[in-house]
Amino acid sequence: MKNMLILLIALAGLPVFAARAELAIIVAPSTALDSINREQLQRLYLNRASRFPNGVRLIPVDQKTGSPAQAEFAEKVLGKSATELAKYWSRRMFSGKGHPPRQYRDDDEVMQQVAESEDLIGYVDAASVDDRVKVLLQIP
Amino acid sequence: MNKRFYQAVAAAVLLAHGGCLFAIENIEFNGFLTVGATRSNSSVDSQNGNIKDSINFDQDTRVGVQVSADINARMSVTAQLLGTNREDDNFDTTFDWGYIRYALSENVDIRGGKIKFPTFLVSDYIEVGYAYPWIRPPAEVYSSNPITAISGADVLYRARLGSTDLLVQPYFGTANDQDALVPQEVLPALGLAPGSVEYENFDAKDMAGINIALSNDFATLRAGYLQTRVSASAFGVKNEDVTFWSAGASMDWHNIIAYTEYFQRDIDGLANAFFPNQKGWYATLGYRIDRFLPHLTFAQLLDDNSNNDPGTGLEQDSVTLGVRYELGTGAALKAEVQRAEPKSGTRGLFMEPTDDVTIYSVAVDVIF
Repeated sequence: MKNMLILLIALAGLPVFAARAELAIIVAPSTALDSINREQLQRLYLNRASRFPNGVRLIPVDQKTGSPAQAEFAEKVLGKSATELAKYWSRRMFSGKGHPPRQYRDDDEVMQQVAESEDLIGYVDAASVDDRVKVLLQIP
Repeated sequence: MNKRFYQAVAAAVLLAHGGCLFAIENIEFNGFLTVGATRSNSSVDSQNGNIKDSINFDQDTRVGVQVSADINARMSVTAQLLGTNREDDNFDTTFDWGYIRYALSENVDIRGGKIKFPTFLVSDYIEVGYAYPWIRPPAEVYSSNPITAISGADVLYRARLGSTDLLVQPYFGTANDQDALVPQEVLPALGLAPGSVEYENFDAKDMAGINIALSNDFATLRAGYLQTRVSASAFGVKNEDVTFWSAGASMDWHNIIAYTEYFQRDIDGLANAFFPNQKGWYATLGYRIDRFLPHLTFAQLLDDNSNNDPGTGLEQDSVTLGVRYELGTGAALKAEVQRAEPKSGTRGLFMEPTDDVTIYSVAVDVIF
């Protein structure tokens, strides 16, 4: 019972801690790109561009809708709430103009996918980063 | 094709068993659904017979399913099925649109097939209620073009001008066997009783048009032009010229939402009896407060016929007060009250001339 209570308190506190987290924008170490700015990131994740000035083409990967990481990324980088983002994609998708990025369950899955492919770009909590990936930008 | 079908079945089975969503990498299913009820305070029905003085679900209720697949790095297919109750009491399911897209370059796509074309700001996704603030886009403007998709091809050319995205979209094709609501004024000549709701087939050939849009983070400006020639053999209408202009703007800036559009259509000869020359506009202003989006719309439909045109131009003003409420992500609840008033002795968008009519509507929109 006591453990249950601690778990509940921990779960209730989770979004608060997550909302303060620093996000890291990550690619595979071999990807031919060393930095990215917020505008490029925004255009990439809103499917308005896929290629960088140096010719590199990257496919963005997302975290699950409703996850703290996604809510934070949507607000800080895309400038939209989760519901505004859902509306944006409903307009793009159902007019045949493109699909939202593929979603993965959590930081672990994003780390694993990005580490294995030099075509992908993703975001995770900066605390989840290890040397399997390269950090292009940190967003406080 | 068969292989894709089996892949789709396999994907459905996997999904049903709670398997990984991406078991089949390149086929995606998405859907949208609206359940909407309407009721007016008048014994005079709307001209399509769907809004009356008893609760009715036919005007806004519909369901759609979209299937899309990447064939290879440059080619993809997308198609939508749509079921509605709008034209009669049976729920009709149609193949609304579907095309093959070929990416010629980073900035140029070519699409071929049956294409939903952008007469207005939300035409591309007009069936997806979740995507816009109203329960239905203002009828004074959106009912003016009964053709929503063409069999043909278009080109999507995109360019970046500073912080603005430019889209230039020329299209060309035909739209055969389109349904048009027969105007009440024409019914007696066809031996039909006033108050009937009749749809008749017409063909639009040599349809050519262009859509140009400028957009940035918070606003879109667009303009479009199309021309075609319509024929309806049942009425002896043959190759009459039609031109259609439209322009509009939308904005979503610091919780302020605004839409405004204008159109003008010009139709020659006998076809004018079925589609009189009209022009119209609307303006919507809304302000988002957390999960609520209250909004207000003024709309006007105007007669643009000259004295010797055979058709009867319709005139109507309306004011709509509405609210959209977000039910979490992917669902919205909407309620609207509209006061519509036919003008200049015409019946506006109703069955017959009437005093002002109040229409109450509620709807739930979801995407899945």
